[in-house]
Amino acid sequence: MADYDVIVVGAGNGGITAGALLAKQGRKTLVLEQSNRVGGCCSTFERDGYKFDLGASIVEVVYPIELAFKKLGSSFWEELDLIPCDPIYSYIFQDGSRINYPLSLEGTAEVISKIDPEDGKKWFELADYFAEMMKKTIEAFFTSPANNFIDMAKMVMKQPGILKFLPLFATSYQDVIKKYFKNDVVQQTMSFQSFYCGLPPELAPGFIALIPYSEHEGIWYPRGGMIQIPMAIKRLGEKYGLEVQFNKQVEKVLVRNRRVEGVRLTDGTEITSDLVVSNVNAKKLYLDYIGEEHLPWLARYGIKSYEVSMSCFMIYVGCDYRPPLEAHHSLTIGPLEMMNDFWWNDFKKGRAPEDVHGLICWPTESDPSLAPEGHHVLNIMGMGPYELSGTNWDKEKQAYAEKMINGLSKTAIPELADHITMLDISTPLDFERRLLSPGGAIYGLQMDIPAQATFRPSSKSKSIKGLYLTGASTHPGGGVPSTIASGLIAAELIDKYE
Amino acid sequence: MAKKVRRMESKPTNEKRKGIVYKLMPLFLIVPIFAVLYMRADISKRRFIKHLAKQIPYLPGRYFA
Repeated sequence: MADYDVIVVGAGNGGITAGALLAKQGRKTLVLEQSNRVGGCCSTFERDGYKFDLGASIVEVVYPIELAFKKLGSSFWEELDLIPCDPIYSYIFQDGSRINYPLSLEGTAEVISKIDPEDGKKWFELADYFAEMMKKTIEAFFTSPANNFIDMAKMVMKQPGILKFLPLFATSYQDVIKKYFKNDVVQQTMSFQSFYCGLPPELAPGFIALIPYSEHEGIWYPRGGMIQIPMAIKRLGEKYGLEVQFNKQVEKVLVRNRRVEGVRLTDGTEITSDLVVSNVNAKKLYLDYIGEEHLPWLARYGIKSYEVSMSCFMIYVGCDYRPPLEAHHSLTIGPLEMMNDFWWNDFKKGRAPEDVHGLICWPTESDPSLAPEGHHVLNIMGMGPYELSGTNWDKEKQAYAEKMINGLSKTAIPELADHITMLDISTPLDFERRLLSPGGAIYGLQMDIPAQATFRPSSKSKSIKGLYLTGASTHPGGGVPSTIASGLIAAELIDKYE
Repeated sequence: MAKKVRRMESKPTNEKRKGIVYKLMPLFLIVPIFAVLYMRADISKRRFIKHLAKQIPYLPGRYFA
């Protein structure tokens, strides 16, 4: 008899959600987490009296999260203190000027209309289109498996309206934005969001253009930090008997005759189980933890073909002044072409970008409890390749962070450099070490069309019996709602098949 | 009982060739049309198409991953 019914490898959002739901199904479930906290990319750490979110910085598209909490017998809105964020973004242009898009569609249209009246009208067209898309696709896409073409057909049968949006799969993010907006300034306010799927505007799939609209359906910040979300799920799971062990790193998933038998930890301990749910990057899972020798040749070929998603360079700043920002999220932006140029001329060539563009998160704007009184925290996220040409991040990180801080102090966040009381840095190498994520990937695997849905590693493994996948590298993909949805899907598949 | 011997009358070679040509005709039309569209596309669209097209050979393997 196995030690456990289910072992979950990794307590990221997907793993902890699956674990909690499986415990509720009455299965003896153990979650093994290599770090000392839940959440993975959606966790929070404390340093010198400041609390910093490791990666994820807000929550939106809450439908799958609400569903997960409901299935656990509770309510997302009651378990957490969710602070609404408004405005959505403050956009900071290269010359330091800025405009803000408020939460309301009408308010955003007003801002856009002042720049270009025609684009102001087009904003409503884009909003209506993607509002309809979200209404028709979120439930079907986020909560249904996509293991094979039959699953995809069932998704369409559940919601035939999805078919209207198929053209978005044959066009790029850039083309969708340019179709609606002709003004360069307005286009700039939507130039960075394609990188939320790890690709530049001209390569990201068209459906990612949902993002500039979707945040207007609401973005929230959980008081106490993003870790409150997985912690709440863990708490609910423990009511049903879920067991979570920290500082337990899995070295191998034990497989015999293409069936899981349990796991082996790095300290040599073996724990047996009937099922294994993985919250590990799928490439690492199959090629390292399971081993190529256990995979059919076609699956091996497919898994090796994936690229891991992009990583990022994150600076965590504690400061003793109120930074001159205007929103929880600010974006330092440039034209669409500049974002594409960065990709081809810097990112793909192993160069850290010269210009500072990326996301500035100011969580103490929403939740002052994250810092001592009068102090604030900032997450400054820039983009950078995993491998640097001719050098590496361990050598360059300090100098690069200083360059970013000095650059931001000139335009986006004046006087920042004079008020820093605490600074920590996560480079792509650090993300790889902290999260055991190959390449420091923050979205699991690449997020473009040939790696989506039925072409993403399946939630129910096709190669190994008793193995299920959650997290960013399986369907539906990366991001807080998607990873929680992956846990929902895995738990439902196990309920159905095991 | 006499064995019934079926004789398969083989098609003349010319007719076989015509059949193959008719079957491949759509390809002869689609490929040049696609090539013209690709050549007329701007550099961004070409990059988008290339980015997707180079992954087509991986799709069968990914489907079984």
